[in-house]
Amino acid sequence: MKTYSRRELLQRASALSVLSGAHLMLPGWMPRLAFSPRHRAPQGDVLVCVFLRGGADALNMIVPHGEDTYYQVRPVLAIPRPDASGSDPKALDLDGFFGIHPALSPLLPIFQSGQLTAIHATGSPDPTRSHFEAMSFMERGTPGSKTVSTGWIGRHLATLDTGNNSPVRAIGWGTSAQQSIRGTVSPVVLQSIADYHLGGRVDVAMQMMEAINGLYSEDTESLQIAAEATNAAIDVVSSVRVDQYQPQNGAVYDEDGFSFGLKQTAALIRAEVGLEAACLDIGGWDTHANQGGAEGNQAALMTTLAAGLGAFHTDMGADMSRVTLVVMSEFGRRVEENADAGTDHGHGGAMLVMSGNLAQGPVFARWPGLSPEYLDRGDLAITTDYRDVLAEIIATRLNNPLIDDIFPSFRRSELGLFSG
Amino acid sequence: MNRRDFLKVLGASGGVAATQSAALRRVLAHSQPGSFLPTVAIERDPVLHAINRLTYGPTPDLVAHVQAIGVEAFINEQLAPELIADSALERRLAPMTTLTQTAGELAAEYEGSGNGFQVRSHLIAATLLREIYTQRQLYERMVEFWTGHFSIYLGDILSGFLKVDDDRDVIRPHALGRFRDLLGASAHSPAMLVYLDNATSRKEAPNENYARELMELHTLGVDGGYTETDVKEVARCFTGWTINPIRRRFDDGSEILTFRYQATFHDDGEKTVLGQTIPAGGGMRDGELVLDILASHPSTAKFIATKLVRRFVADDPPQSLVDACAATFLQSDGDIRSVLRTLFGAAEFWDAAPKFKRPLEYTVSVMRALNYDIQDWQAFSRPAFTVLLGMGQVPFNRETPDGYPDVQEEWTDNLLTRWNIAIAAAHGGIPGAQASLKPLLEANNIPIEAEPILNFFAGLLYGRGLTSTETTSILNYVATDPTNVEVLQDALALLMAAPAFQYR
Repeated sequence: MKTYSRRELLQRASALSVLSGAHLMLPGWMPRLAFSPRHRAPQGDVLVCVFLRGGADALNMIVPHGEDTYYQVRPVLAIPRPDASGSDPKALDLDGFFGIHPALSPLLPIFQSGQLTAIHATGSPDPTRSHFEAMSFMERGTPGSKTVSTGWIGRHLATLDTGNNSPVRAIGWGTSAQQSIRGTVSPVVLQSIADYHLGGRVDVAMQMMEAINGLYSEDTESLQIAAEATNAAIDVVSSVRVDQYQPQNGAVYDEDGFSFGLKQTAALIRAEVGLEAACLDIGGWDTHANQGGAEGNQAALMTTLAAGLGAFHTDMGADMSRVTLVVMSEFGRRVEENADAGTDHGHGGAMLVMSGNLAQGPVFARWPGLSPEYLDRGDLAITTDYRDVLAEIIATRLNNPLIDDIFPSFRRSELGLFSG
Repeated sequence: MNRRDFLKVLGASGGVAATQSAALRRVLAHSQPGSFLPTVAIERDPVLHAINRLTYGPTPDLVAHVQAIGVEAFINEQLAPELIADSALERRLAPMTTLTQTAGELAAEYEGSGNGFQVRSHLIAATLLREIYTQRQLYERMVEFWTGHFSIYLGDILSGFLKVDDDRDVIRPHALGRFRDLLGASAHSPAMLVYLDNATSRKEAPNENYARELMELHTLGVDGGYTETDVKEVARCFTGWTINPIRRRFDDGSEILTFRYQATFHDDGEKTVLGQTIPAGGGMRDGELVLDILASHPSTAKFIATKLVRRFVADDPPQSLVDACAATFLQSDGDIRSVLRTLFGAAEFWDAAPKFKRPLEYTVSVMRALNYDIQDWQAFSRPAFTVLLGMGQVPFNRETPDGYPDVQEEWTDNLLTRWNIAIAAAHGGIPGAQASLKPLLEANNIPIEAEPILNFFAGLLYGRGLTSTETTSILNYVATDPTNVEVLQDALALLMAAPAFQYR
């Protein structure tokens, strides 16, 4: 079945100017916002949020190689010190105490250039060690409470009027919208821009879409909004030719889904179609068994992560001044390794923030230590609430001061992550 | 495309018995065929309601059948699947030879052969064929329910071998049986023991993965009253529950990839679980005691009842019905059939608002609605897997152990794919399969014209006439080229792309 992008259809269907004109007057999803934005400001950075699903073992990613306990409790899994003898892969030093896993080596120059900061011993204060509960709390931005259905990015978009009426303010790469990005501003969910169009006979696609809009006009509000947002997004997204997108500065993206999502995000940023926030996921971090040390299962995941982030950073180049990328996970893992050469669910973890406007060094950590007396039930304690990191991104880089709406009942403390 | 081609696309094979066309006409009478007048108040047809909730969607034959015997008899029939013949489905499944092999046999035949993916393909394709074609529709829905409840991800070739056993010997025998039996079978299932890492858990450093999900996802629910200490204690109880590995390691003649209790892995000290003491020296009995405690716990009754009511009634389960189902669960010693009887007999069930179809339900319902006959399952499955993957719901492909979600807000992001499925299906574009609507339309004297066809399918798919909005939207489209038969197919696509068919 031959298919065409909606943009091609618009060009081919110029004779139907009445119809297409009628369609273009339909920003139907806008006026039905449940509540009006409360703050007006120009759009700040594009926010890219990467979620490592499964509880990433931060201690083997941002390695506290200066702490002897780490090596005592992880005889199998520990990443060797940067100055370890032998030719085996070892941690790459960042600041004399922390180093990165060797599989994250593509990130080393970005750390060194001051455009990447790791926040360690961070996370959600709720004590749950359940993946699903922890993710739900974290993405809603309401640790311990399940009463709020929207996500923290969703509430940021809903409360800030940037004058941007694009149907692609928010994108969730994947098969369903990440909880973080849910809210009254409908996120567009897709895997591939090239496939995002109505199938069937090309010459009637516009009329078919009109009929579909009509059919959905009397349904429940949520489905109606989803249908109209889909329709509007097809218009915009089909104008972006990802197959012809040329990454800049010699950047080369890998073929995996994560890198492809970042490449498409870059294409949308460069196409200036009004993207404000994008969410991407990498799954598989629940390493109860055979986690691997310097090499192995978690190392392979880190290779994927670092290759994607590295290519995106190279591609963005000077545009990193208007992009903030954050990497997070629902929790870190148990400090002590288990009998399966893996780690069980833990508490404190790490976040990464990539930006052209960072003020801190490579690692921001109020390090609680790994000795048993400093642990939270066997797990790394949390000394920096993850909401402090996100609140600072929102307030400083996204021009939205309404932190109370986004993280209710939260008293934030400033970390000074950004220079401006 | 001329009219004859249209009929060809709609299918030259298959047929509907003449005796059923009369019943279908009754359905259509019920749903006011021929009327394009605005319909203001729409009462759900009980026949369609029962079909939509208990099955994977209406087919012409099924609507006629339920009309003939009545909804109550239909529900009773579906609650006794062992009495329902299913030979047509069995013929369709015959080529999938791996379904009847044990994990050990599959490993011997496929391990390292480069063809191990075939085992997974058979299992996934068989699941789609069963949902589309089985006469035991409610049973298959319950298989899907428990498959999600005890979700196992086919992440590698080995898990494919193991899940064949789990599907056949754990989920299917107990899908309408006693919960404790099902829970016990799952706890002994090599697929589960490997997936949630209990197979390698030892007393020196117990792996907590299974213990946690056993309480959070399989029994009590996350708010069911257990603590982090309970997780650690339950993990100790299950140390030693492992499998006979794929490389024969023990000299006792045990089959590879079967359950094994390894006493040397077991922590035989005293434990306390949910306030109850598990005495030292219990060996394998520790785990069984934990399963007894969990299966009979009121939190488990509430958790299972909530999930069943969410599945069959509403995203936000009515508390009154959850309580009634939980009470039946406790009184009947976890008899799943009894719980379903309570559920289907409740006013809340019959008053339930439409429930949004999950992607797999939507896809299967389209295949059923148009009487699609899958003649080449291999040609069908590859593109079907791709489409379902894009919508995020391939069977056995949920990476996390919580199973696919069951609320509308999780599934409204892929409307575009649904519309494209409807368009492809209405144009005969389902690979490896042929629709056979011609005999159906002929048997019901439906002329190949927009209004009669739309009314006929509205009766079949919606159980009612079209609303004024539906009428206007679709007939306005048809009016652009009313003599073009492809436009009629588009109109049929619109009927399936419409919101009404996104719900069951």
